[in-house]
Amino acid sequence: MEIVVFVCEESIEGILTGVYDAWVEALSSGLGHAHCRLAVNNGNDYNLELFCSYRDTPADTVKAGKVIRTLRKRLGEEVYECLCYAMASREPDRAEAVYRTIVAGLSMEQRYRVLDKVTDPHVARCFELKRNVGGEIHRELEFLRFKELENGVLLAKIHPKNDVLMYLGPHFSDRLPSENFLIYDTNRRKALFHEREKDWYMMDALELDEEMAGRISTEEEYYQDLFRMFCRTIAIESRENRALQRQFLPLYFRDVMPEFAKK
Amino acid sequence: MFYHVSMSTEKKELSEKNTVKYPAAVGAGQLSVMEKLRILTDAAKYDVACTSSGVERKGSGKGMGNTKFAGICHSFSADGRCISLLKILFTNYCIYDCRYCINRKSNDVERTAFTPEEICELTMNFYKRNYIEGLFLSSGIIRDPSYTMELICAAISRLRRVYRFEGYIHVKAIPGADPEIIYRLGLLVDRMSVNLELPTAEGLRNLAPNKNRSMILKPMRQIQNGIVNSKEEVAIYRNAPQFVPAGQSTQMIIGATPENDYQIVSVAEALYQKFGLKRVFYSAFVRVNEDRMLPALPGGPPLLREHRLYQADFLLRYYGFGAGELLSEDRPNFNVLLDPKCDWALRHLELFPMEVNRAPYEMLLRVPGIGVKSAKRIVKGRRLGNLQFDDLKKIGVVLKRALYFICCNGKMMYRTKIDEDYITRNLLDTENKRPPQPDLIDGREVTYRQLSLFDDVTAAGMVPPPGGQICAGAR
Repeated sequence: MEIVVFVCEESIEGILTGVYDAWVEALSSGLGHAHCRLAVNNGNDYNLELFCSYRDTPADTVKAGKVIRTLRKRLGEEVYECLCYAMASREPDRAEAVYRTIVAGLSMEQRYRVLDKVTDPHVARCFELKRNVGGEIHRELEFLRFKELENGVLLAKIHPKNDVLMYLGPHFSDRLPSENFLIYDTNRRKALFHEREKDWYMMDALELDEEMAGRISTEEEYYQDLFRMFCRTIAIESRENRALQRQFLPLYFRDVMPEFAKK
Repeated sequence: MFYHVSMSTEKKELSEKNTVKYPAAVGAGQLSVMEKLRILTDAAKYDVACTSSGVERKGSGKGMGNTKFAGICHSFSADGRCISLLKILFTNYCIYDCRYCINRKSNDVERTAFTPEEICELTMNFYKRNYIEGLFLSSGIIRDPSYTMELICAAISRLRRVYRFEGYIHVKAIPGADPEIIYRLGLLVDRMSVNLELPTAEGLRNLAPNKNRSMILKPMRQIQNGIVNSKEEVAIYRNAPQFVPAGQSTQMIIGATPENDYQIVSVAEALYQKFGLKRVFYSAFVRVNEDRMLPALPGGPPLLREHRLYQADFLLRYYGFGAGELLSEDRPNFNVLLDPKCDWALRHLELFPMEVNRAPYEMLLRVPGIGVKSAKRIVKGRRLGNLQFDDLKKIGVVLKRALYFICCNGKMMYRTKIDEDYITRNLLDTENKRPPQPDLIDGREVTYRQLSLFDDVTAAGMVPPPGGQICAGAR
């Protein structure tokens, strides 16, 4: 039996479109889900396999919307949220894991319990991806730092490994409703905007104006200095433990944190 | 320079509630905010609690801030402790002379005080930049407890009402303060704590001459009752103001007084059960003052002991252990080498190996290497299929500890012995990555082990094998 590999775009929408197309293929060919597979086109050449045909599936809002509706209705919000986290991962096998989890979930009697099925390797993988992405989201909530620009806008630059930017929107817009802020993902050149007392939104393929981003407000440096001093002072000398500090706060995050700036 | 708190001036201000003015007499104001922050952070750093957890609150859309139930740490200092809140003292002037405290009256340290305005500006600007999760305000005692509490209350009130700060606020309730002020403050903050300072009343008498046990327990009880009443009120009237919604905590200093671990854990247990506390924090004693009443600590602060107490504390709160199960009068101190849970399991080998696919949740929690999350996932997962060791690994069970205590479908992971001595040895051998092997010499199993010259390590940590022999040469 020849296997059809659906090559999806990287976004959540792209993966869900792939799920839709694979499902159609599985049913219409009469060969079932074993006949289909999902892969993510991450721009690199992937290893082509023998006895497989590859089909590109461009992202389609309508198809993705249908899948989302089905997931929320039949698997429940909790499962849907977990799948969304998993799809934001950077791992190339995320599309396949999500697809198989959906297949497993919809064929179960207690569908909303699909995540408890730890004995299924794809469900376990989904759970692992979700945990990984969830951890990174939480670390961004912790370690992201805003700086105030001349015009009062708060700017944060992040470089997450997974595509977590959109999960930061609800948290920060709830927290800082009357601020204008902008979070920029330097890895993916995406930005999240929030205007004072409005909803947040995102924009893709955006170049940050470095010159503008460098013009900080007059108070900014003062507060950075204050916080740096606070962090230095709060440590108890006789308990110093750099390894423990590194365990909780990996060096990876420190380049955007003013308390670790060399001064 | 040595400042004295001037207690004679401006008594009139106390009479007017809510309009307490900043005490000009304390000689502050000349220092820059940077200097003040340095002094008052330095003075606050021995306070342990820096958690921002316990309450989930969305922003109102009008002010700034929200809170997350799990809390958020925003940075970690060089000692590996988290920085979640802006932890500062209102002032480090103090009329008390507690022997262990850096801010005691008789110490010659630089003294200063913040203005409420400065505290608010710092909090708002740090919060806006995502540096902190909120404010943790404590204070030395100026003039008297009520007066100090009123000053704190005025600052917090300003932060909440004028600046519309909706993030996390933790304040210390000062023993001896007017209950009415504590009540008012409790409606503004998320968490309140009263320091127990030392585990026993006797220790307190020796080291904190101005404080006594009943004085500390009084506000603790008041806050507890306030929380209970407020919860009932909120159940009826949804929008009733919440009193200390994130609960109450306390802390005690470990190692400054001669209490043993059993006493400390029992005190903590009593606090959880009788005072409904959210957390008890333990702080390894750091000798900041030269005082003949304080113990010398040549090895530095007792960090391992503190660590073991925290481990035991979690066992009390989340794992259903009782203090009496972990320690007893005969064994009053924790094992240096093993964590309390492993230690307990080794003393109860008759319960193991436990069948993961059938054991009740409460018993799963008692297996070393299985935590609350893993236990929950095991219980959910096994309804949908038989669990194997591979699945346990994916669930997050720490197999290198758990493998001695569990079996899946009647089989243990490796060929291991249910023998206290044997398991202890393997557990301690953390560097050793190979699967545990029975000791084999010429293909025959042996049960003795090498006599160690460093028996002091062994004696402190391990319980001698049955019969009391360290080296039993029996085959």
